Amino acid sequence: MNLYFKSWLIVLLQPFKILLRVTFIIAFCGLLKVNAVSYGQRLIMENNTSRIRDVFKAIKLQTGYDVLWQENTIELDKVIHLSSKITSMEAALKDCLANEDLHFKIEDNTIILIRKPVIISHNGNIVKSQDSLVYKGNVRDEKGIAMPGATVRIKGTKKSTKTGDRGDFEIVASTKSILVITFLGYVDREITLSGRTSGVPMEINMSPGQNLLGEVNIVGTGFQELPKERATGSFEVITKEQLQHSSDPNLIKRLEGITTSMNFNNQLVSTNSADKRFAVPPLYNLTIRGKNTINVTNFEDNLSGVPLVVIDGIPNPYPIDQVNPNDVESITILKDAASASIWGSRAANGVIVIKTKRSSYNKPISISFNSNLNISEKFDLFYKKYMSTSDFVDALSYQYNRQYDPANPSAYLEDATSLFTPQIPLSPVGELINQQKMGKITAEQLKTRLDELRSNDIRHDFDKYLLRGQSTQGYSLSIDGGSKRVSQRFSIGYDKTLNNTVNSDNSRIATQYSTSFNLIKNLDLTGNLSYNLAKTNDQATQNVLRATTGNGFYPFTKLADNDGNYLSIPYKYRESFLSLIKSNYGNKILDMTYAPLEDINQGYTKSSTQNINLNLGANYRLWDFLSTNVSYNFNYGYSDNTVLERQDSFYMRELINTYTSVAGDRNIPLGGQYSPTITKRRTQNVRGQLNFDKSWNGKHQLNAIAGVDLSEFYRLYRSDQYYGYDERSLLFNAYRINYTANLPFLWSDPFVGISNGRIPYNYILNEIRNRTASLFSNAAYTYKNRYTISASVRKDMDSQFGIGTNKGGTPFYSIGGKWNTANEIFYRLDWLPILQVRATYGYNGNTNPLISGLPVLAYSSTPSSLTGLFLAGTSDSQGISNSELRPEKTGVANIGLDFGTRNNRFGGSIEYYDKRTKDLLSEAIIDPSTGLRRAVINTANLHGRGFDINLNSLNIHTDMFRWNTSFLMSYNKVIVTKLFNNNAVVAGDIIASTGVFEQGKSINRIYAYKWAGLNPTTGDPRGVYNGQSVSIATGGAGNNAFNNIYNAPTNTAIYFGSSVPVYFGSLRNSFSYGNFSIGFNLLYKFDYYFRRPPSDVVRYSQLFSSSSNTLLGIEYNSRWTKPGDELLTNVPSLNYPASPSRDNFYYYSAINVLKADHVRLQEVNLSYIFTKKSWFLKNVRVYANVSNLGVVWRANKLGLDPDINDYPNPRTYAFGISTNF
Amino acid sequence: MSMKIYYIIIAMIVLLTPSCQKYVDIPTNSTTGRLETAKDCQLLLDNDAVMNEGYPNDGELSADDLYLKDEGFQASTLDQSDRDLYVWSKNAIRASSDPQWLKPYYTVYYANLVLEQVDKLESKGGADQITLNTLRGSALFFRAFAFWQLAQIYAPPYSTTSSNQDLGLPLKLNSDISQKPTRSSVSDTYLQILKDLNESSNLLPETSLVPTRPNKAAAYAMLARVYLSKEDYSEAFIFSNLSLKLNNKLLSYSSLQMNDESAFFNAFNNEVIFHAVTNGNSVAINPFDIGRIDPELCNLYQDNDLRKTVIIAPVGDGSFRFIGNYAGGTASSKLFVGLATDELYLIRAECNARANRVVEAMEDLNILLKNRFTEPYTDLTAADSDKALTYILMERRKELLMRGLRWTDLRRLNRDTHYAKTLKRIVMGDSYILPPNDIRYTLLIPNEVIVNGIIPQNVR
Repeated sequence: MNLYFKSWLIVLLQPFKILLRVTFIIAFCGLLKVNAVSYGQRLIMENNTSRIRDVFKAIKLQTGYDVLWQENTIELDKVIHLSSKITSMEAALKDCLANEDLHFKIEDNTIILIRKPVIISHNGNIVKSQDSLVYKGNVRDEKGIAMPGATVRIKGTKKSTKTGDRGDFEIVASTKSILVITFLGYVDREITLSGRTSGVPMEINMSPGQNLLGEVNIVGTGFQELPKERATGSFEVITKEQLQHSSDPNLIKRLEGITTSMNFNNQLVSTNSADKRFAVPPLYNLTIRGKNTINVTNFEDNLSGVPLVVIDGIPNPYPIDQVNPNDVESITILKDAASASIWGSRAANGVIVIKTKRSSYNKPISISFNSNLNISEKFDLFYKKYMSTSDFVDALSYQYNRQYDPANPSAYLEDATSLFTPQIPLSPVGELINQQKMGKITAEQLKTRLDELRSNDIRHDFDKYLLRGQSTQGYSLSIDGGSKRVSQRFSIGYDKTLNNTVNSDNSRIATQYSTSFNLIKNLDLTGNLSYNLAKTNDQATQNVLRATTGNGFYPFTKLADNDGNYLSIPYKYRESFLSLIKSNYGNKILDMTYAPLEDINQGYTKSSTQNINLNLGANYRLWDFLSTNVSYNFNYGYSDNTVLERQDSFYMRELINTYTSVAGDRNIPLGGQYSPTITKRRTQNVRGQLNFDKSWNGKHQLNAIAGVDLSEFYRLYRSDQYYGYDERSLLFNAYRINYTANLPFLWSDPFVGISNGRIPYNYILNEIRNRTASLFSNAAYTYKNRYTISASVRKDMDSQFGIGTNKGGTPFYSIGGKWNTANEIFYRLDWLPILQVRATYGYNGNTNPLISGLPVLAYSSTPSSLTGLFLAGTSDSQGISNSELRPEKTGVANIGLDFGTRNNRFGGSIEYYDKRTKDLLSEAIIDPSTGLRRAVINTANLHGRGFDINLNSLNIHTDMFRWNTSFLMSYNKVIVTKLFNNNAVVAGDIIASTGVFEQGKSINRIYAYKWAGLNPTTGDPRGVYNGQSVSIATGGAGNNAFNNIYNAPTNTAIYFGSSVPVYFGSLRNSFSYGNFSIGFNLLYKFDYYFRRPPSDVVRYSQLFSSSSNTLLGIEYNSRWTKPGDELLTNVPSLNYPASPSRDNFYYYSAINVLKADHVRLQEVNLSYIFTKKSWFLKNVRVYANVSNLGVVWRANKLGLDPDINDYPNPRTYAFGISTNF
Repeated sequence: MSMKIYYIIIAMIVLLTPSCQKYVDIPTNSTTGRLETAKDCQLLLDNDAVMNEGYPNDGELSADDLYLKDEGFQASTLDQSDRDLYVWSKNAIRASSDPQWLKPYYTVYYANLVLEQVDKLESKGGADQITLNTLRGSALFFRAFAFWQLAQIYAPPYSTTSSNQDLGLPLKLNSDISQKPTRSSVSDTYLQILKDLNESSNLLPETSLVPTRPNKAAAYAMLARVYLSKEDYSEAFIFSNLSLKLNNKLLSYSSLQMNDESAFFNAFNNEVIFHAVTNGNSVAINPFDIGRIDPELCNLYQDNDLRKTVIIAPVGDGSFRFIGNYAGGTASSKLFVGLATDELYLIRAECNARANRVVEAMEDLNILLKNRFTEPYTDLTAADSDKALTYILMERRKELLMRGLRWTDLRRLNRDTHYAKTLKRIVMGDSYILPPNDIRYTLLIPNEVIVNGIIPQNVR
């Protein structure tokens, strides 16, 4: 642990180096100047006399300070006399304001000119008219703290004042006037003066956050930004502040626990970085408002069923995993038709709209910096309780003795005699017994050697040599600011992660520069350029050593001796075969021993992905109500993935030897195998859009957009391979390799027996190009701020649908309405100032690149190895003859209620939705007599329903102490209403198969076989067939019994319920005392069931399979061994040969299904803000976060975590600091 | 106001839609395209992994040539359904359609795609007639070949009395996956196979570039095989004769390079007329895995019979494995089930014997055996046609070992009490029996087909 801190401190210095570079970049840009700021800034003027305007300009240019003032409070062209040509900024300002009733204040690189408090004489000589009186007031924020600088304006006039240091003001107004108090970041307040007594100070409380700049009430659809009051659809906005709850470098992962309706993972498999099988981007496991596909798997090229991600208005320009969360301004999640149908054919699974940070005009320069360190504990391989290795040794002796009859002492396996047909290894236990039977070792030696094995546990070696704690360091720095006509923001972020196994790490650099110019009046230009570089290092792809048990290594294997020297182990070939070939071929072949820990250093997989994204936009305001904008996006990604298998890796030695002739000629040269693959991606998008926004007569508001969007995606993939590769000289040997001949192997494959073949090669060249064109429009009309109606329409064309299939098709549309009840005249509930009801209905679609009703040919880039002829295949998954293929559509109805009590003490929203998907396109099992057993067809109609509740409350609020609670809850159920391929399904299908569905039943459900206990005489599991209990014994009869149960009608299966949470959400409590705050996030999932993980349950066929060698769950110890045990246990007796039917029946029986409801403490956050300014640091926030704290309550009695199949994600600690300069 | 805007939008959509459609009408992938030209059709037919590979081997698993030792039977790599099929268990059934049922139907799907495209090309004159004829002939041949392979396992043997009622195969004659086929009668199944083969024999060229592409000799050879399986010996004679006229080359086994461990034969050797193999993932059938040859059969090879060392080889434990794979030297379960000249000599010999042409029958048999025995070879003679037939059937079993023909032969010969055989297996002390003409000679259709298709299961 100390080590991490040390390295963290060292690298903490890195950002300052970065800062120097950044300064250079800013200087290069030349538009903004950063000077070390102090109040004694020098100012050099050309003349002693100058206009105020010129003084301010000079201040801006020479010091970088912006000067802000209330309009009409100062006469800019007034000529003043400066005391000196070379003066301080402050002196110059004093000279400027000498005869004004203004004074100035410096804050955040900004000079604010403030009117001096008006001193009113009691003789009333400034009272202009008879009906005007002096009104006094005091403006305070939600915490009751005075708000200096708030603007108090008399409605309908230009007359205004600002509050003073104590938040107080005085203003002369008529009794009929209305005061409007405004302050940036707060809701405007209107105070009617009639009925108020002049001179008596009014207490005016402002509430934050309601009408602001990119804050809560603006929703972004990727096409436009709308005030939330006028949005009818279901939008959920996540602000940058909310994203701070976690320090995960992955943006999607930060959304968990702060959003409703998003289910992040149904079956969590913890990711071990040596085991890439489960390393799926988190987006692919995410569902918004329930599953909308019955696809079993998702691939990179088929994002059907995956939510659409829009980054700065562009759909999927680059993977969301590349986004630096510190660059995100806000995220809007679009869930229903009105919000999402603007994205047409891709919106059915929900849309995640990400807006990155931009600067704005007239903003002083600010620099912010964030650094954090995340440390995860090591994987706990001992989390699950397994049988002991000693029992495992006994089980293997039992297996050997069943294989080689103990009654016949001469039955054993002879040493290898064939040079050509290899023997595969016996288990090390079997080998020892075999040696004893052959007379090579004595019975005592056997016992000693077996006892040695009993005391080993490979998990200790994995823990010691392969696993490590994961650590992530993250830094980000941003500089932004804006003058009146130019704004700029630059940011750079760097993350470095050492993964949880050795030889595995990754890093990411993300830089972004954005700017906007107000070029001429009404014309704004924006530009955004970003560059990302992500790198990963991992083990080479062959012979990957996975730090998990049950991956083929015997659990008692020793990977290193007590001195830490790496040991070689029996692998693929029996020892006697290896010594035979060694003595026969000698130096003609390379050594064939395999030491796993040494082997992982004999190669690597390295990948780097670079991404450049350019966004250009122009916005021209034609009239004040109509503007047009054109944008262009260019994205270029380049990934380079290289795999090197060095000559000394087992894979390479074996490959070279296999292709060596009996005479010793090598067909594959000595050296490594080097395989680079390159992927280039290019996305271009052009969009033209008209925006209409007008209000008239104070009653009507109309907001509409319409536009056209064209985009093109291009990808080139290329892979090469070099043999004889030498890392130092980069020499390789490709010319003399004979790829075409079928070469005889030196020995046949030990498992499949193949005795000859071609030298493996891997050359691929592939190009993909796809274009989409869309026409879209939407409009919202609001009457008197009370009633809003909205509508949208969109038409998509996509070349993925295939040539000639874009004609026809109905556009996607939506309609919606909203009633802002609280704005009604009759509305009297003062305590509930926010109350509105909204409803929408419309259609979304879902792009599935795999669909085409016409056959698509896939040309093979290499000729057939048999005939040498070029060939083509129909790609099963891409285009098949299907005359009945129809586009898929999802209709969504959404009703929402928003409410909020005064002072935001309690508020939230409740939404109900009903989602019907028609003609769902999905890969399904079809009649194999058509020639295909799986195809993408119109599979089903789905009906999903649910609600999302979002409640926030401020429970306690004193000067120093605050307690906030937010409660999120989602309910979701999806039913298959129609299956187009509704065929006879049997009990076994719905119990054991994924991808089997039933009409009228939920899409995720869990069934099991009826359990009738263990057979009292044999310990075999028993099921029920035709009302009779039957034993599933090893052998024919038991197998028949299992087949009968499997093939029984579905109603014989026991139904439990949903296999995914029906109710889920989170409860977040945060407390703050002064500048210190602490937050707890509980996640809960209710009303569902799970099957015990396979690693818990005994499956004897896994125990005896030489490819898995799995330690069985601890329940192995309580297996049936003698009559009477059946009263105490449900664990079947040990049997060899193991019967997979018997194992299957037991695993899928009712006793192994449990209630999955649980509550998890996901994270605890601490943060402290230093309010005291140091010489250059401001708003210093230090924070810490602990996540994956584990289950706090669960329904099952076995202590299982229903989200976890093998090992829990280890606890992660994060520490960080963020600050502004 | 708002109406005006919508008029503009509607006008925009109307105006922009056609040009947008043009914009998106592009091919999306360099390595994919639409099935259009005659060349595309040929590329599909040259996909040997689909067209020439994956034929069912459950017949061999059930027939009497294959033998599993007890430890082989217990091997954990062996599926329970393999064990069930091996002992003719009453409810022996495959859960998955892949590969036994699916692979041949995938071949049929390709053939249908090509046939449909050739129709289109013919109607618009898309290619020259010879090319189109070859394509059509090839596609028809492949379809018939696949159907026949399936019929040997999943449809009852052809019978002149009951074939109109017996349930045959679902005959999938178009590529559209939305149309599920129902089961035809056995007689319709054979009619379709013969119709396709007859048409293809008229369309195909006499020779082809590689034996994975069918030619006229292959079509005749297949016709001979099909007629033989439906016991139409006169027709089988005609076609075996026609085929041998085009190609009668035989391999002299004495000229083979000897190597005691690996397989001997090259793929596409001189005897191969049409190359086809079974699926490659069966541990029971794989001679280099647990599959062994029935010891009684091994004993039938005489000492001067080269096949005793060329077709079978002893394994260390005293049992024999099959090494005479005409598919070339892979030690997988991809066993040759295509057409070769040796089979045609045997068919012609059998038809001659059955037609009482004893001399001609023995002549064919001796030509074949001369290439199988060490020198000097003495011709076999037979006194009468029965004697000749007995010789021929014995040599047929020895010669065509593991060629996917034994199950068909058993089904056919069982109908003649002379040659009927009761099969027997002893596994782990238990004995299992399959009497002649048993209902289990028609295997159960894989469960996946029954669940997802619309066809009835075979009776049990």
